[in-house]
Amino acid sequence: MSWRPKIIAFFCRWCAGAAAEVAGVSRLRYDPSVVPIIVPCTGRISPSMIVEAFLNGADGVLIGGCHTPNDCHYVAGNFKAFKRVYLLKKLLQEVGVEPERLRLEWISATEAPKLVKVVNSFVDEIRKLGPLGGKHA
Amino acid sequence: MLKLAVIPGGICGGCDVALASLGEKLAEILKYYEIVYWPIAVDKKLSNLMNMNHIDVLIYMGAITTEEDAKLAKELSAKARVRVALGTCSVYGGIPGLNALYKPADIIKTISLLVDTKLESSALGLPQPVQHMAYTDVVEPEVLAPGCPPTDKVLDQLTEILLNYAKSGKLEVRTMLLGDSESLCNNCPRNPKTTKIAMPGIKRLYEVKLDSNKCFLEQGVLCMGPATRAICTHPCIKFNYPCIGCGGPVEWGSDSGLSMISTLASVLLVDDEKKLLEPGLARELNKIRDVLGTFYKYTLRKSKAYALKNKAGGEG
Amino acid sequence: MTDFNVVASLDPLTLVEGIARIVVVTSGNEVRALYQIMEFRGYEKLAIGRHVEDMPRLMSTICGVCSWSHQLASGKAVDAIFGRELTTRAKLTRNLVNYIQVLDSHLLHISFIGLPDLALWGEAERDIIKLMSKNPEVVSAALKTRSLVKQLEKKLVGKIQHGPLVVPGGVCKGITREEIVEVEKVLQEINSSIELFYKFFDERLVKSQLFKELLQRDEFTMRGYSMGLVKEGALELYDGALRVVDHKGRTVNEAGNPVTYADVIGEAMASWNYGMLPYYKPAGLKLFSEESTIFVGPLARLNVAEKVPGEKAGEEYKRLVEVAGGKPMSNVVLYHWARLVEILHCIEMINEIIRNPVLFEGDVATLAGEPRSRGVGIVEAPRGILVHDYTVNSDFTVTKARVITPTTINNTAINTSLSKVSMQLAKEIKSAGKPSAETVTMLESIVRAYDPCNSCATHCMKIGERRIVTSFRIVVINEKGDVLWQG
Repeated sequence: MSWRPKIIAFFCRWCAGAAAEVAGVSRLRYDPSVVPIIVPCTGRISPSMIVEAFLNGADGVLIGGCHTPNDCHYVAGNFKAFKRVYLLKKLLQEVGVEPERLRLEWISATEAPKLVKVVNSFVDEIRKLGPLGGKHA
Repeated sequence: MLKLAVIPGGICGGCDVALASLGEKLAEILKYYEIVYWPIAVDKKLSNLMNMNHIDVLIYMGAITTEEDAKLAKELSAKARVRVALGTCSVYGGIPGLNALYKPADIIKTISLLVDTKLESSALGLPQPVQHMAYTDVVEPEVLAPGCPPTDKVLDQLTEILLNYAKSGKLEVRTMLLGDSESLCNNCPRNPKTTKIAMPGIKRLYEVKLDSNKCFLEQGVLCMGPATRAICTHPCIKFNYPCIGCGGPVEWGSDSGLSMISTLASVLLVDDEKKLLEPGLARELNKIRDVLGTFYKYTLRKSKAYALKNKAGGEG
Repeated sequence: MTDFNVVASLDPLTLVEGIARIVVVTSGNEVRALYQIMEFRGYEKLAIGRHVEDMPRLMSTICGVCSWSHQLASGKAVDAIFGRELTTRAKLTRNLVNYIQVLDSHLLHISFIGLPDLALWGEAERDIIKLMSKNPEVVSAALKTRSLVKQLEKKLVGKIQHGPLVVPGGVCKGITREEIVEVEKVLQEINSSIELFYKFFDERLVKSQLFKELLQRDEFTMRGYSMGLVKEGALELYDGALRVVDHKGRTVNEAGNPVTYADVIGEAMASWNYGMLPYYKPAGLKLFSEESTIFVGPLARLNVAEKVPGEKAGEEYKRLVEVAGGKPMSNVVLYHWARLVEILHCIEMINEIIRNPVLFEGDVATLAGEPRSRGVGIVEAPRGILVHDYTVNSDFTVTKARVITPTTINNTAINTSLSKVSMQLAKEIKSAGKPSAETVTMLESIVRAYDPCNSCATHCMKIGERRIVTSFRIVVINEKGDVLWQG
């Protein structure tokens, strides 16, 4: 019980980021293991940001972006994020990291309850997987 | 005369040939340097080298594949004033660095399954293999000279550094990655006319007739050019073969595989995303059956992906 | 130790330090000289999981000196997997590169190892530097020829080593008529510089008393199985049937289908050697015995072939066989001469190919063919039969890879040859604790005759005014590997 996962969440400011704000003002609780980082667009999240997060102690990385096909504020940044995450999951598998430690979800600004649900279920999943590398940090 | 030592680790011989082919440039270097060790070139004993108090310039070629390699690389490098990692194996682990994924025992086991008979005996002094490493994993060199083998451009720069060092006794920068600080794509002879590259899908090399003028990415063929340091004058691309990344990442410490994944996402089917949606894009991405071998042919050992593997394996 | 009794070990080969050495091991009264490959790389493992079409480039890095041979053998295996039949143009292009590869490597060997070894017989230092001081004209001719061949490579393919060429079912780029104009000029120069070289070899070596003596020495005989490719009975370096001829000259195997190599070549793995010890499978494994030893490379190729294409090469071949007293030739000193025959052959074949108009016409690759799950590619690398064997799954990623290099095959032959010196070594080590200079010369010459690839990686070109040396250092070790004596 002493171990609490460290999870980095990259949220797009136009959707999931805004939903997180709404969750806050609505007093919707979500698991505090998650550290949200607000980015201008999920298309901005480079593969090395995700890998660096894992290398620097994250047990899971969650990405929240705008619904496809038409919600992206910058037209198609979300599709770029999808492709990157898809390839990275394959890469994680090949280097012996459970691909489930990386999750991409589309969450609009109006979906605060979905955000809470996603975060909590992701934390549960990472708890089940345990710490990355099998050692309690 | 300054002392120059050339030390081979696990090599294929290509770097030796490249260095020896320097010709006149090498003759110029030898005006200032005496070769105190270079097994293929001069008949001088390793024991002499071990007894020397210092070496001015040490050039290390190849990867670290045995305990002896590692020990020798560390001991000799400690005596050297300037350390040069020559060739992609030395700098990034190289193609044999793909074996860094496995322990030597696993490799031996795979091989033993291929043979008809196994003969057990004493090892008779065979060196112990270690998990594959680059020279840069055991030493922090001052000069990094990538290429498989190092290109004329890299060797020209190296020659200049060695000559300047001989004359001034100083290096200009602490760590120098040779080649030009830009991606190979920047000066590609087949740079597309449009500013936007659209990759029409992913074609593996066996399913495409290569067009000899068009950007490889625009043909659907993966080309490492955008994520690879400009160390050459595009000999492969000019010979109608996509870049496979022997120059390593554009900057020291960056990760060419991750850069290429990022680039690929930016150009793949960009005009059809909203039509294909996630399942369509996934179908195309699934054509890549080997992510590490596709994106890290030469640089896996020094990559963030490899660091992650070690972390996941509890070794990091 | 269960496979042999040994204790003392002879020294490591200087120029191949860390890669291979001769060890002399003794146990009681028994002494044995072994050739030990110390390099550990494991390409069979790193191939697994890779896209099979990436193999030719990845595998070419096995060797920086014969990288084209690996690429071509690998390419043939990949063609087989995709069931693709090469166009004539593609085949000619690959053949051209293969001939240049063999020519390049043979010139290297003959200049840096072959000539010094024979021309300086009996001297303490037998390297190109010494030869340079005695016969500068022949060394210059050799080096010049070699650098011309390198120019050929650069002009044709752009990259000297590990460059692009093979794609599944062809080559990535064809050679143009414009490019060949330059090549022809270089070839003319090669033709004239080879003359001197050849004359020296003939007058100073072939006709020498030493050569006649060496041909009589039992230590240099190899009565194992010769293996090589033939096409309609003639010498062939790229495509052909795998033929095995026994020491009496009888053809005991001839197979057009490369997959059957595994019926012929067995492989043993020994814990004292990172190189495998292949053997003639139908004979069963008899370590250090000619009864199961296969040898490959120039001499074996000329044993299995009935004729050598090319006017000059053909004549030289007949002369060689005559001096050798008929076939099969079983003295490893003749490897050097066989190499010269092949140098002539390669030059003639290159000349023929570049005059073939089809080299410039038609498709360079085909996509047509019926894929299958396994492909084997065999070529004649400079040092002999080179096998690449891949198995793939339905998405064409490699599930199993096997590579047998000529140096691996000759690893057994070298060890068999070295064991012929065992009696002599036992005597010397017993009385003096170390081998005599004469015996060391003998051991070195045996290894050098086969031109193992680790030495191919060790001989290079001129370095300013310095030249390359190729001498051996000898070490005696005990069975724990402790060094007891060092030459």
